[in-house]
Amino acid sequence: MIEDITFLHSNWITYISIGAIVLWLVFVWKEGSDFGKRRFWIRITVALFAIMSIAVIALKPALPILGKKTKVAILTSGYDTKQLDSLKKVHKRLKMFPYKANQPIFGKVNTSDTVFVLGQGLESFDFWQLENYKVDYVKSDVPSGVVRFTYDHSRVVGEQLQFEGMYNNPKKGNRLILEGPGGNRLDSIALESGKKQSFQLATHLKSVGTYTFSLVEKDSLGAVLSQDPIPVTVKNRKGLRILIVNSFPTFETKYLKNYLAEMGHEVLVKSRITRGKYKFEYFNMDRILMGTFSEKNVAPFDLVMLDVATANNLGRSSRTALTNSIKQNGLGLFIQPDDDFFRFRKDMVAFDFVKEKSTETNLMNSPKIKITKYPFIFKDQFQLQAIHKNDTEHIVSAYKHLGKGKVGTTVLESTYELLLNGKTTEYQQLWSAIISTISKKESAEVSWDKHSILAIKDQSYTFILRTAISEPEIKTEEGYRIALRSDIDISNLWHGTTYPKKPGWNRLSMAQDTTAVLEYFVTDTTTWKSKSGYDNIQRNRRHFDRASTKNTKQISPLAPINPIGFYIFFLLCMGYLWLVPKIGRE
Amino acid sequence: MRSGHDMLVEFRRRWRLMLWLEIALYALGPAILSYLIFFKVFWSLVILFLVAGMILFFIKPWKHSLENVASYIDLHLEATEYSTGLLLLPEEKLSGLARIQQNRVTTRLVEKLKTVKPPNHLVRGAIILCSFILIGAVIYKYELLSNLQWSQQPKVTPETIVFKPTDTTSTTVESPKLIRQQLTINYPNYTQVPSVETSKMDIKAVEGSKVSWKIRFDQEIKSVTMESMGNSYPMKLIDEAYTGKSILTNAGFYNFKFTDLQDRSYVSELYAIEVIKDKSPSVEIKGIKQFTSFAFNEDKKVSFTTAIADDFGIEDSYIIATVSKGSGESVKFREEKLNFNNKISKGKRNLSLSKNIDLDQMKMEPGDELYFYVEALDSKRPKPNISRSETFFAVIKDTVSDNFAVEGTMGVDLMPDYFRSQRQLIIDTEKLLKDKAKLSTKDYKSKSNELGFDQKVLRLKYAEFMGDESEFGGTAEGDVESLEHEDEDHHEEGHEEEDPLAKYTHKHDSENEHNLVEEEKKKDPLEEYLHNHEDPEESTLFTKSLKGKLRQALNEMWDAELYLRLYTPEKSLPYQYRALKLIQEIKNSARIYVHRIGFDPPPIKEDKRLTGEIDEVSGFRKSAELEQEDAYPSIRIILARLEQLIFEKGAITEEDKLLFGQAGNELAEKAIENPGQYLETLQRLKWISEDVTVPQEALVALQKGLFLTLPELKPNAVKKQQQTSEINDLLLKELEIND
Repeated sequence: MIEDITFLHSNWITYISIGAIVLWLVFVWKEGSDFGKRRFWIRITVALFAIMSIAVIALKPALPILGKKTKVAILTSGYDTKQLDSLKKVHKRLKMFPYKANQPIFGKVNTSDTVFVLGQGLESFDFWQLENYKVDYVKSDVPSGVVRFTYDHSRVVGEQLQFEGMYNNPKKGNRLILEGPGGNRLDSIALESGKKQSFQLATHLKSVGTYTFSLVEKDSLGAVLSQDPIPVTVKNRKGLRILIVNSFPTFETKYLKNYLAEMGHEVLVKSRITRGKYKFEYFNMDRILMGTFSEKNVAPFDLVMLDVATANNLGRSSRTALTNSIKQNGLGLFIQPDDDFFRFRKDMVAFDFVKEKSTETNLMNSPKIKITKYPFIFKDQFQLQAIHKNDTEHIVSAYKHLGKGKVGTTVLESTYELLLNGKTTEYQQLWSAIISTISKKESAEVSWDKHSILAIKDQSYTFILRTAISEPEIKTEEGYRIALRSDIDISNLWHGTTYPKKPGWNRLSMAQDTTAVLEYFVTDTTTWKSKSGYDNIQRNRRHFDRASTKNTKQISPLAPINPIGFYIFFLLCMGYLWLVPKIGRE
Repeated sequence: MRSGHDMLVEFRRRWRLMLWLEIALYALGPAILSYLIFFKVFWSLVILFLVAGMILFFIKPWKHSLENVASYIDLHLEATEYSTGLLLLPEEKLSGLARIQQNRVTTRLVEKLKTVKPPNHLVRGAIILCSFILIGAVIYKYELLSNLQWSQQPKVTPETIVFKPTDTTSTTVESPKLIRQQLTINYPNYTQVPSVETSKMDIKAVEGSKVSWKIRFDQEIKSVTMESMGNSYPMKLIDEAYTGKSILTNAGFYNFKFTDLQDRSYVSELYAIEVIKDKSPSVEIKGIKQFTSFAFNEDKKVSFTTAIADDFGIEDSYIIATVSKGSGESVKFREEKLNFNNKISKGKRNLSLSKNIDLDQMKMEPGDELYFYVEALDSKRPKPNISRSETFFAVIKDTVSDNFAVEGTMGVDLMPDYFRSQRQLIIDTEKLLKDKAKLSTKDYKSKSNELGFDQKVLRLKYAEFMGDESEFGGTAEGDVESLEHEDEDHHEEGHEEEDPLAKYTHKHDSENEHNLVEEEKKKDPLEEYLHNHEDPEESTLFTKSLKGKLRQALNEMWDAELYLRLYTPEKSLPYQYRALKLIQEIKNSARIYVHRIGFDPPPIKEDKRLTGEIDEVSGFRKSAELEQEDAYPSIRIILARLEQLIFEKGAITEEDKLLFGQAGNELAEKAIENPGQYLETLQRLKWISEDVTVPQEALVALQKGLFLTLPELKPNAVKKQQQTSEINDLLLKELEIND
């Protein structure tokens, strides 16, 4: 008990004690005449007590009000009353405080000891309020609803938007509906009863722009239970420049070039008619000369497609030019396979194949459609990146990195048969995946590394910027500049935080590059409730679990001891000292 | 001083007035109630007078005479001492005392008459009136009986008129209101549909109809135009109404636009024009099979009825008949146009016509074929719709037709039909066994015998191939004669198929058999027993077995015939079955299969390949722009813009309006094909392109509608973006080293 006493004016302790000693010494000197007598000792002892008590009054002793019996519980949203009841049983004098975001939790009340946090927890911006407490976070149940989701919020028009999520505590009969802008129903799923249900909804994006899709939950009667926004930015397609060189015309090339040209890509097909004579076909592009490959004349192209005969008969200079273009400029190369390709392998990049019997396969995403192939499959090895796999997880088309560029091929044969069989979409999907993957990528000056473009009004929204520009300047729509923090290791990585005020679509733009605009969607706390609750639980758990181990010594609030006792004691002492000489004289 | 009489008259007047007032109060209540419910002044007045009349009948205010008044006053005013009646009598007739009393009463009345009030129920009347009004007000307020309010006003399509952004300060000026709109549809004359007048502006009419609009406003306005599919047609002012005319050709949309004197313009809703095409008549021929065939000796008449229906009226109908003579290359056609028996009454919607065609009158001979169909024309102008029925066939069977037969290498069923007659015999035998109980013994035996005879004829036929003519020749001859005889019996008994078949197929079948097993026929009967190695045909195992089989079949037939002749058809059946099986085997073995031969090019010498003269071959260049144009560029832009408008609540600019207009044109093209689906969206688009302040919901609904119109995009390869950084480059280099 006594060791708990601290002095509020502890910084005066030396001066006061020196003064007290001096005073006492003066007193001793004053009583010096009676030295040796019994009353001398009594008097100096009494004086000592008086001085000590006055010194103590000056120092203001205080006791920590470690209310052992007053535990505190903070009730955040979604707390479990059962947990609270059992907590009350253990700690009889439990004090409860309801939590309101961004408000002082305890007000003027001073508390101590352990603080229990019940429910979904505090908002992360309120953590500081509990910094000095020992916090015990009593985790509540995960809220029911969509607790996690992921989707690519920035897509190219025509691509598929895939929304994957996890629904906690689904109720049978309810449905989740993906609605497009304006409320078109695009996809839906029925919930099954169970603990958790993962779901996937998808739609194709039809138009360029920023749109808010929404995830709507309806009960079996069709009443809307919740509606949460899914913001998506849809970017415009950029066409490719493709060079196809064949040593003889094939059906495969014929259909492929027609498809590519119809889709608006610039395609140059050079096919040999006979020795030294070539047929040049220019689709959607101006005529350019195309003789042997040089770094200059393949520079404008994003992808070069060669058949095996052409690839094998490339001259030394052509080969070097092509390899350099791939390695340094990121050009893509696709080898159109034939039987020889699997027999002799002497290409820029060696692919390894495994022979197998079947000459037919199907693709993972369309397992019902048969595609003919060469009797080989790719040997899965280091550096080989799959583009397509069949339903037995074998790779049927793949690429390898070569410097900045990629070299790819496939074991599929006569894919144009898909077109002839009326499977146009599958054919187009197959080739658009291969070509998109292998083609040269556009290097972006500025890119926003955004894990989410969903922000909450008046709460912090953090974004990450990658740019080669040395000192990027980011401004909000209102013209406010946002201070950026550079990453300590990676110089072109910048972090920034903003507090959006306007609901709906907001924009962040860069002063140096006005085309680099980040569009993000601001909503309020009423949307994605289950997810934010779940996130909060995780955040609180992480924060408080860590905090409790570190926070061994805690500082409790102090209350000064009432000095009246010392006064009385002082007065008694002084009274004695004053009265004794008078009594003694008589 | 007034006389007492006058005072009584005055009192009576007051009394009557009060009664009238009371009646008025009673009557007004129901009248007001009815007005509040139905809003019909006329009916309310009727009720008013009706109720008033009824109450009048009860109360009869005119009936109160002066005597009644006097007695009433006597009752209610004690001061009169029951002598008011004296006032009514002339002074001269009264006694002195009475006169004094009369005077007293008069003076008292002058003082006190005002205290007496005529009896009335005005308060009651007022309460009833108030309660009626209250009920009416409640009903009116809460529209309790709104279903009873059949509004007599024609349901004017709400021309919700909106402002264009002009800086009018004169907002106080009332906007012109449409007071009358009329749409007249004149159907084309031939349809014989009377013209329609309507106030509903959506048009649904037959192609070629004349449409005229008349719209009238309550004030003078500057101009009215009708806008349709991007064009605008000014309307003329005739008789204070704006009129416009048009002839319907295509489906589409239209709306009105007018400008008032303050130069503000207003736009109406979008209305659909739906054009119904005049359908072609439907023709159905009844009472005849598609194929009819006649024997030459039959009564060769074809009769049928035709049901023709058209939506507006049939103009004409006739039969086109074609007779074909001959066959193969010498075929000849003759076409004739025949009229129906009935006369066609023009303009009827449904017709039932009949026709008899006598093939003899058509100069048809056996083997000729008649094809005919019915053609019907409707009354459409200038070009009628023509439709025709299916084609029907009538054939006179040719008794002597030569079937064209190719050599035996044809992979078709060449086997003569009488091979089937073994099967037929089996069927008949089985039928006979089944009917045994029903038939008399004599009939049964005779039938069995007949079957035996048929079996014999069949056997003889086969025997012919075996070269057995001589063996059975005599008997066969004799039998054939009797065959003719028995033939007729067969006819009578309904075994028609069998005998004519044997008869008709005789020549043709044997001829066919010639082709198949020609050799045997010419062979010496002895040859079978010789071993002739020189003849390659004979020496094969195949022929031998074929011959043996045929012989075996004949033997089986012999036995079958025997048991049939012995009236034991059940015993004959196994033999017949065996014979059938053998014949089947022979039939199959006689099939000839030929290998198909493809083109086998001569081999090319390897060293000659690609060594031809290539001077003439030249490389060539070709350029093509194959990129497909997007059909909805404006709609796509609008969609993104709408998202901004919805979330940022910006105002619609002039630029936007232009875009909305363009998007409207793009959508209109699609909407023409399917107006029901897109009309609403198109309408919204139109509104927004004219208006500034549009509610949020309208924008959302428009966005939804437009998204639905966009087709799905095809999968396409795209150029992807990539952030290049030193670390990435380093990683790639590292990978390469590792490789």
